[in-house]
Amino acid sequence: MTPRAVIIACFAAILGAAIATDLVARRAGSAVRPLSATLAAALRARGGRVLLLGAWLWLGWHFLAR
Amino acid sequence: MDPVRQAADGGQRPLSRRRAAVIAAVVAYALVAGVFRPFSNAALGAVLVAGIPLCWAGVRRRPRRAEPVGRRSAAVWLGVGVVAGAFELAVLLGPDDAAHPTLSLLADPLLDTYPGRVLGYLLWLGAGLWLVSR
Repeated sequence: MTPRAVIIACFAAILGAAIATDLVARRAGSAVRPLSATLAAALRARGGRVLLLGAWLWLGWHFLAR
Repeated sequence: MDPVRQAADGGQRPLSRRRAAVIAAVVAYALVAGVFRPFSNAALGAVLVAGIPLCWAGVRRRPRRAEPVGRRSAAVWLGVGVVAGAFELAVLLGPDDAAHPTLSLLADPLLDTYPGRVLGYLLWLGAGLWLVSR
């Protein structure tokens, strides 16, 4: 397996883990809340809003403009 | 029935004129911004012209009520984010070649095409609007 294939597999595994976690979190009785609910809770604080919106702006710059 | 109003959420919630206008504006923005290729001042301008006002509005806006989620949820999702960020950083700090691609390098073939960039701008702006509306 080439280094490139390993890196792509790792990115896919991280994405898969995030999707699986979100699906498990949406089941009744789960101790973990879905990503959307967690982000919404983080956005209640001004610090969380600054951090998340800053990350969002950086992602736009990095992927679309850089 | 008002042509703008359409069934959403199983026909229970109509699409408001305001929401339809926002969706139309986002699509129009993505169609125009997608023309600009990455690494250009025009692309930088397209990101900033939408990003700065949205960040400003999002920081100043009073947030909606949201249920607290508890430390376990915060820890789990923070953990996923840290693992993803650390891996991206490790790849970034490694050899700078096609054999060791970062996530942005992997996205380049998609973002080199106009439809790919339109999709990218749609996802990015959609995520920003979601964050600001919470």
